[in-house]
Amino acid sequence: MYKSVFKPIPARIEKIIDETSNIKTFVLRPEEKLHFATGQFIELSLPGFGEAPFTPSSSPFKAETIDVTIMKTGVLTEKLHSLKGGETVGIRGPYGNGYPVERYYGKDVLILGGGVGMAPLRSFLLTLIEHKEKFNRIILCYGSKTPEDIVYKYLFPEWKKIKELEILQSVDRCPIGKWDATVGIVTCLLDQVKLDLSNAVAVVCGPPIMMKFGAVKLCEIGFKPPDIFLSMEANMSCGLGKCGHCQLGPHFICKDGPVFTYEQLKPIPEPFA
Amino acid sequence: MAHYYITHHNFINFIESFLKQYRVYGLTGKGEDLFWRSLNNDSTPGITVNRYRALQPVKSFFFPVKEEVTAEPAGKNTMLVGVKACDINHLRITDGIFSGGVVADPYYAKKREDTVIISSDCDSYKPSCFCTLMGEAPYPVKGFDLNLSPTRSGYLVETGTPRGQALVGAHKNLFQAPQPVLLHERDALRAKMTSAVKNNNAAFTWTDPKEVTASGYKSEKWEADIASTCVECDACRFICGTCYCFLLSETTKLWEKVRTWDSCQSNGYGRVAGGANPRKTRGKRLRNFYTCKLIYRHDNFGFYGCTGCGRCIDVCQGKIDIRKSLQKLSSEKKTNV
Repeated sequence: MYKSVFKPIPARIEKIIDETSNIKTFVLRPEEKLHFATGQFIELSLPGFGEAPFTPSSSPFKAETIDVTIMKTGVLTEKLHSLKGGETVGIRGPYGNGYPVERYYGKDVLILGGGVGMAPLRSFLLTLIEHKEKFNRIILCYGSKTPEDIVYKYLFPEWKKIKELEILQSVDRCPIGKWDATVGIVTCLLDQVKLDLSNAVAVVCGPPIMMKFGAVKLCEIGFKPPDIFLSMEANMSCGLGKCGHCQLGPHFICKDGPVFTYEQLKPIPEPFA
Repeated sequence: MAHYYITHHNFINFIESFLKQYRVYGLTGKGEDLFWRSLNNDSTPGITVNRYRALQPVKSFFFPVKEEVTAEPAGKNTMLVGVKACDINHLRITDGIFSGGVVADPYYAKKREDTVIISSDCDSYKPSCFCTLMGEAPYPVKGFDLNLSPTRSGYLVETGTPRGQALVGAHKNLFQAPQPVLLHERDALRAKMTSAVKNNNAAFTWTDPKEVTASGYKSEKWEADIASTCVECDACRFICGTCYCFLLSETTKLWEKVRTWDSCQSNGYGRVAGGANPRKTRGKRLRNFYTCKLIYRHDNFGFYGCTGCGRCIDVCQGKIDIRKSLQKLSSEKKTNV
């Protein structure tokens, strides 16, 4: 039977995890195994409602199921949030280039994440943890709006037990409850980190404004643009570098990214929406 | 490759011989605009072979307005008669996008493979024609199966591919060896038409569209002047022969998808989840069309995404003329210096 590049594979929702008031993680079991590299994305579709790109948040070493963490932000995601376990969605992909993990071997890896931008970074972090001995240091700086908005709250205590992993967290504000860590935008965590900048890379994912100022701040503290890796997820549609929706200067984010170095982005006027 | 001569009468017989095996399209129209029409025995004798390009872009044959893209690509032998140089140059871009990249688009590739291109030299031009400003010429040099140059009583035929050669070979009795004078006549007409299109655009002094667009990127003229009459109708994008953007959507059939032409001039085109939009204003969106065609496709493929066909000028409700826009940007640059 003919298999079109545009035809999704059905995937059953095995489990839905409530992360925050507007973010859920869907554990999906595709009818055919889907192998992806960390940082690659998939197109997730709901018949009759549409299709949108998401980067899996699970480890690429776990092939039977794929976790996708989704914030409720539009028509499709609102409908996705109303689904129950056992229902079926469609998956196409994976598309794009993931994180060049092998290039990070032996280095200090700084992960800078904001909000739901932690989704692809969780997949990346799980990949690093799988081979933690191959990296000099792994440092996660993660910021969210409030303590309630932290995704994967239940995983942080577990991650904090891993001695090779250093975790710094911030919240923009703490209206209620207790917060022992930093209050402020995530980039202020960078002042607390001392790195061997001659042998370090930074991996950034978050809302566009955070990516923009995150990259600027990383440069200020001494990172070189080729060592800063940003996940530039936009509105990728076809996933194959054809439909034009995700064009970013001379690049198509879907096929040339979604991970770009800051050096690649700097010549493009206004790369952050 | 090889050259032949065919009379007008024999040429019609030649085309009519394909009507059963191929869907044959030719140019018709008595007024200012020419249109692609499906041909039959009655309409074939009345086709226009030369003149200038049709109003519709040739991409429509390979990348239709709306197309189902989950079933097996269906093949239909197709023949296009009267494709112009600017149209063939458009296909360089759509080939680069659809046939190149991470995977070849099977729907485009199948139609491209199944379509015979019989091109022709322009022996006239529209006021909107500006191929010479884009470094092109009003006659095809490659990318065709057969090319037709008009002569007094017929056509000088050039074969461009083995497929074109085989079409001639199958109808040897209709073709003759060309007299050398016909080649000279063709060259003279080509030189005359090139000068005519250059004269048509004598008012425009810019020579490097990429440089003009890049150096004018931050100009206030995009909002204040160039895009000020844009009514966001998207006509320029849909009529453009190199615009390849599409929207994938669902049908009522499970997992079936269709694609339809899309336009970067629409407000929602670049919008991302959460509402952020990199191109919120008409000026930014129109600038995106210029940077896409004149900077980025040139970076990607080594040639422009604009071949100077002038279709966007013909259809613009706001009378936006890309030649004038570039002139405004280049004159601003001179003023600044």
